[in-house]
Amino acid sequence: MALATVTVTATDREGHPSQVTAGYSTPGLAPGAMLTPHTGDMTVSVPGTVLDGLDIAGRVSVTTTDVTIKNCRVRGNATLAANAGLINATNVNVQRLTIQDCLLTPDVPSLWWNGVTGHDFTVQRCDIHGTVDGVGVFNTANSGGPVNVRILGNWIHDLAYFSPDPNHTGDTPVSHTHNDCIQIQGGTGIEIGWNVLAGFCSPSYGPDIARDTAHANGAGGYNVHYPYLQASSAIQVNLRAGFVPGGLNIHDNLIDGGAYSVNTDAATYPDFGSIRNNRFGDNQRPDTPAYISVPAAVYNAGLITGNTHAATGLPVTVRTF
Amino acid sequence: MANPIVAGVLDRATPSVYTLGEVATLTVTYSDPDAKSSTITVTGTDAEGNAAFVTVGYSVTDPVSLTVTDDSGRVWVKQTDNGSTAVYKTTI
Repeated sequence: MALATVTVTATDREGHPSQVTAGYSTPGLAPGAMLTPHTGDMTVSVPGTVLDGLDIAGRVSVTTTDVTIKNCRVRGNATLAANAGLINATNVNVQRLTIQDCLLTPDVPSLWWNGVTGHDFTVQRCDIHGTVDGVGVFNTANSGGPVNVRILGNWIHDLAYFSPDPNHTGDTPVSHTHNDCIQIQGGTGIEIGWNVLAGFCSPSYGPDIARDTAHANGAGGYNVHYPYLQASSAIQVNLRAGFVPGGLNIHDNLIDGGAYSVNTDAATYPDFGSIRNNRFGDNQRPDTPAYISVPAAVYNAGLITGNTHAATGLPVTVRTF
Repeated sequence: MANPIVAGVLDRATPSVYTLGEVATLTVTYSDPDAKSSTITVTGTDAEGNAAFVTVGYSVTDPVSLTVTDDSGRVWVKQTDNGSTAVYKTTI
């Protein structure tokens, strides 16, 4: 994080001053941050551990409570062969994990890397890019229960696209990663606020974009942003093990890209939550674009409200199905 | 003379997080509590008690100047200022 303060001083002719200040920050590490190198994967199993100022060539797995990871860079490793997060919070014992002011991007992008995965964490003011998904939310030990996740003030962008992808063998004509800035798979109690979510894939991190000829072919395909490719979604809400996610609080984000920027699975949501006061760019995939797509049964104008075009301030349309 | 009244708000809601390259907008509202308008009334009366008057309005102003500084070194450039609201921008 780079935290800065802007100060306004008002002075009258006699020199009487008044001052106000406003703080702001940029996600990720502070410019020029001095980090201590650490080589190898880390497993954090001591409650209350604080990792501060590390440059980690490996991944971090948290298996306990009240861990804080701040001002760190996490690079991953080149030997991964299964889906994982640069920071894993998937262990059943994880509670109250805080990840803040970090740069999460793999040195060697692959179809296996995500940024942060799991449950019971707060990730805030982080720069996450070069991964397939930025943040994955789920709790395999309790798919229907609360996941207690807060995703606040992050910049998630430049996702990594690969093809083929053994996670999606049913794709036609070619399997490929389904990139999302944030993917929710079950669980309740999820706040997503004040983030910048750029739902696009970058050829700098995933070299296979040109293989998706249906979407990435600038000469005739749908992708008007070639060689950049829209991700699947900026925020994707899925069911997991038949459990319906809920208690969503998606607010005050700047969101762009994706086929549907905010996309939800078909389901009957007993407690969907709200999508409020988000601003949207207009760069969704142009074949079937949507800003927000929700089942008609859960659409509630009082809970999905205040969402506007960033360029004009006018309300965005909500797709229902 | 009283100190000026000033308030500033960034265009990104709290927490104010901007990505590099974004343009941030700072809106400053300000006023001078000493500024006021008054009227002088001059009444002329003759020996018979006939009266006539004129009024003259005037205002007291204590102009307020604004200075914007940023401890990150970014320069905020004034875009508009109508005497009560000023808008500044910078590239993050």
